[in-house]
Amino acid sequence: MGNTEMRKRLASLSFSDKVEILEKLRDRSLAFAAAGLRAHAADKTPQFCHCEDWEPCGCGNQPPYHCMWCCRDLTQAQITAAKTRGHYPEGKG
Amino acid sequence: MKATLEAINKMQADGVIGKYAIGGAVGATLYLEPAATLDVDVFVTLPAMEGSSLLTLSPIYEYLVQHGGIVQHEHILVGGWPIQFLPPANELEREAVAEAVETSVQGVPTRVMTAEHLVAIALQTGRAKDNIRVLQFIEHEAVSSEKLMRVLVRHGLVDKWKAFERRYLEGSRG
Repeated sequence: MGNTEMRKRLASLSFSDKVEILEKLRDRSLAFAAAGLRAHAADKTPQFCHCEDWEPCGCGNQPPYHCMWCCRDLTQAQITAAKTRGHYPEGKG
Repeated sequence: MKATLEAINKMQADGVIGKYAIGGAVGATLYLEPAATLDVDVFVTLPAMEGSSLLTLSPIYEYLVQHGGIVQHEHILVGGWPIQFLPPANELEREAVAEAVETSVQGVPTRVMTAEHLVAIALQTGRAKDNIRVLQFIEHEAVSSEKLMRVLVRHGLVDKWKAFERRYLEGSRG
């Protein structure tokens, strides 16, 4: 989907759906503010998501598959669970 | 947001505030694609206090704190959203509150400023982020030119609009 078409689709969502997106964007910003980016260049230790309410991120910057709240990589178990919920098409992860 | 709006509606039903309208980035979201924002601007009319022409937001803060709100600087945190309550500062903002459109979020009724009023207020405020918002409304064809022009004429913003057109729109329209 092109950028223009995606923006049009987002603009045509219901107000309730858009507010839900606003809430996710807000929570993500707050998570960034609290914990910083998911990977620091100097830190080679793998950092995995520990969020109780982890969610697969829907952004285009994947793989590595990561949590939409904390941006840390998902564990293999989380990726498997996400796949059973319809995330991540076969052959990409 | 549902809990936030329920609290505001209850405050209105209890007579603490009169009409209200959501403006700012959240208000613009009714018409545009969602854009990250950390707070909600709520323009409120306040019942006149007896024997005083002074407008104060204290009753709003006192009411919401009694109902679980948490004061954070100029915001009050209600239902997970920091809210900034703003009494209309001029006739344009008063009109924007009066003519706001009825909508709902997750089944909770609420009021949002019209696209034309949001554009006029952004134009009047004139910060960089306001100019970007005006451009987004134009790009999405989310405003009626005729309605917008009527609002701009009524509130003496035609010159500002012409300057905006010269700066940002000339040459961009085919």
